[in-house]
Amino acid sequence: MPEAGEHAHPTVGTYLRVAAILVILTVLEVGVFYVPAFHVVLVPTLLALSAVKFALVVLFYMHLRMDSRFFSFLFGGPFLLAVVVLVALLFLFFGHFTLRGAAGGGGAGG
Amino acid sequence: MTGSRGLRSWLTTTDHKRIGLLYFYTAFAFFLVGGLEALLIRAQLARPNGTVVGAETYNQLFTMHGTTMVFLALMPLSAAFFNYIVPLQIGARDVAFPRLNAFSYWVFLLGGLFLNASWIAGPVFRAGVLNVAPDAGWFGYANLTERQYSPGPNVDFWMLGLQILGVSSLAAGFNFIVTILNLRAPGMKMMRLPTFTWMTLVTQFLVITAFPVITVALVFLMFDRFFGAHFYVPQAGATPLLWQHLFWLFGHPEVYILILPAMGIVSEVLPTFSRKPLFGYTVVVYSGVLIGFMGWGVWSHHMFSVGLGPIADSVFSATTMLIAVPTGVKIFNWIATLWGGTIRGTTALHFAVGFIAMFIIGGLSGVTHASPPADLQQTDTYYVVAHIHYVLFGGTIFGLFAGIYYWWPKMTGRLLSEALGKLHFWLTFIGMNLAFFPMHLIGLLGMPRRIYTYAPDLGVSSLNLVSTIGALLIGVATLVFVVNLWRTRSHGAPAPNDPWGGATLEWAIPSPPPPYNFSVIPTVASRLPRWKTEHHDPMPDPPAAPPAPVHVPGGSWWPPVAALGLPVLALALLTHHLWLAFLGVAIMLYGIYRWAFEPFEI
Repeated sequence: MPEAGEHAHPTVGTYLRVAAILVILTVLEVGVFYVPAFHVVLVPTLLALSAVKFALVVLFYMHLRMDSRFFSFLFGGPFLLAVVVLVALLFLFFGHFTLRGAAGGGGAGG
Repeated sequence: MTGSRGLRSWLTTTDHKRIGLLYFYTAFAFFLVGGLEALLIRAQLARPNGTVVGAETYNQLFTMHGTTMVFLALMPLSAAFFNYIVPLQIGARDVAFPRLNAFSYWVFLLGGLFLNASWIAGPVFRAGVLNVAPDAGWFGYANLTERQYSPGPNVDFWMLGLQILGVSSLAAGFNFIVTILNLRAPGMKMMRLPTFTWMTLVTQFLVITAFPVITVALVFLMFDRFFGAHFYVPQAGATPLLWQHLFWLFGHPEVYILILPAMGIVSEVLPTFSRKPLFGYTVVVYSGVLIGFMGWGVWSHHMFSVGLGPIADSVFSATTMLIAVPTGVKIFNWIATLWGGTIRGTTALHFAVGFIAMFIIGGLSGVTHASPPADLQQTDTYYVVAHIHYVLFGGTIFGLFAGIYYWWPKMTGRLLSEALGKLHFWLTFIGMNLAFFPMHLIGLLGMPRRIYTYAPDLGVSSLNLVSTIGALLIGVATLVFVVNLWRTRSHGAPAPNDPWGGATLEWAIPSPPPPYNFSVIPTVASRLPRWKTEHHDPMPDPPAAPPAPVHVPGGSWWPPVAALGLPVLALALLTHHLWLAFLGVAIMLYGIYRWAFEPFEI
């Protein structure tokens, strides 16, 4: 029995349609690389397309759209944390925002 | 034991209880191997200019000691309890995916054997020596691990072994999360879950989020070593710091993967033997969840000495000090649980209280690392070795031993000897303090870690000798425990359903439980179902025999077959034989295919 907040599972047709959209998006991802107009915005375009694919997979194939909201929370919480950690890592890794070396630096020992 | 007997029944088992026991015996065997490596390390360092082993073997010993203890002993010993106890505590008949559970175990065993095969695999690689074990430290810092600096198969064994073990951990992680969320008995709301099960849940979330990070880091390294990529090669414009970030992004949550289950065990043992509910259950649970989240924000405190800059240093120093708050909250709650309780000084309680005391010492030295100026003096010295052993030996191992003495009667139907148990505890307690406390001083006096010998004029010879004597005492204590286990097989007193008067569901059923666990799935009305509380009477035990036949799935060969494909695949990378790669993939796919189409109701 579906719990509260749970919807019926989609049909095979829905899954196939999602698969078709994913294939089209993948073709677009490969395609934009060959279109010179996109070169200036290549990375944001690819990130946006990947995000759409990611969303489709977790919503349909991982059933988050149909399952209880509790699972969306369990997925969304760590996902948000992962995004924050990755952003922190990028800041650290590229070093421009860490004032490396300023005021004597953060210790050059070791 | 449950169900049918014989080797075949163990090889094909999907029963969480048997898999739990398999995890225990395998992980304990690896614990003994890791302990032996530690004793060799200590023998070498007992005197200055030691000659027990050479530098190369010493590097292999400390690398394999760390790797073995973290990935092959402590994590799977916790997994033994996840397997055996969690389904019982939530009132389930098994885990959500029993065959995946068997797969996790076999992958773990084969990964462990693969890693340890490096001790004798030298002739296969014409290395001129017997042992080609990993030798770059359990943290495997780049660029020491690059082919240029580690040309032999040593690092390959480490890298591929960890990848295999990661598959095991991830499969188990998903399995236990689904089990805990979906297989709870009626009435077992989240805030009625036993604390051990809660900490298992948090741990599994850490596993499934942290292991992908090291998987990515290891894939990068694999590409560097096998295909000439440059992820960590400075000459090609990369920086080895990427490895450090990725490793510690995994490595610090890993510390909590190791300690949270022990905290969960202690939170079960203390209430039972104080005859009091856990003080501040809700706060203890939320502290565990908070540790799980905050554990992701402290990784760079392992890297203060690389020169991150004052802002990063300040942020990670602050987050590291902050994470001590939920940990401290737990400690106060444990002490408050004991306060005013009807305390029974069993061996399990001794280890649980020992855990609190030792973990406080380890936690305090940890806070000293949180301060970057102090940390710069401590980095790569024996002070850090002292800290990690107070946390992982005084903490995790003590917690695990508390769990063993507490749940062994449930798992085997026999009580461990309390007299031998107390002897085991005191020898371990004295041994560990003799072994690890002097390391604080050895480190502060300037002895670096990971060196195979030291000069007499460094002034740390006597302290090192004391440390070695302590390590030997731990070895003796472990032998006492082995004797206790062995003796209990035939001489242990038979355990009733509930030898300790526990409050949780596992004590409502026979010891050891029947294959179906509960004759009737219980309905839970309180957080302490077997104790009388203000609003609830104790739950009646389920009937001795099930009122209707209970179907229990049979065993399956396909999880071990699928698992076998992984080490074969790793062997292909190690030996550069393409046919082995095809063979490994074929074995795995065949196992998965047969597994997927195996009739469910067998």
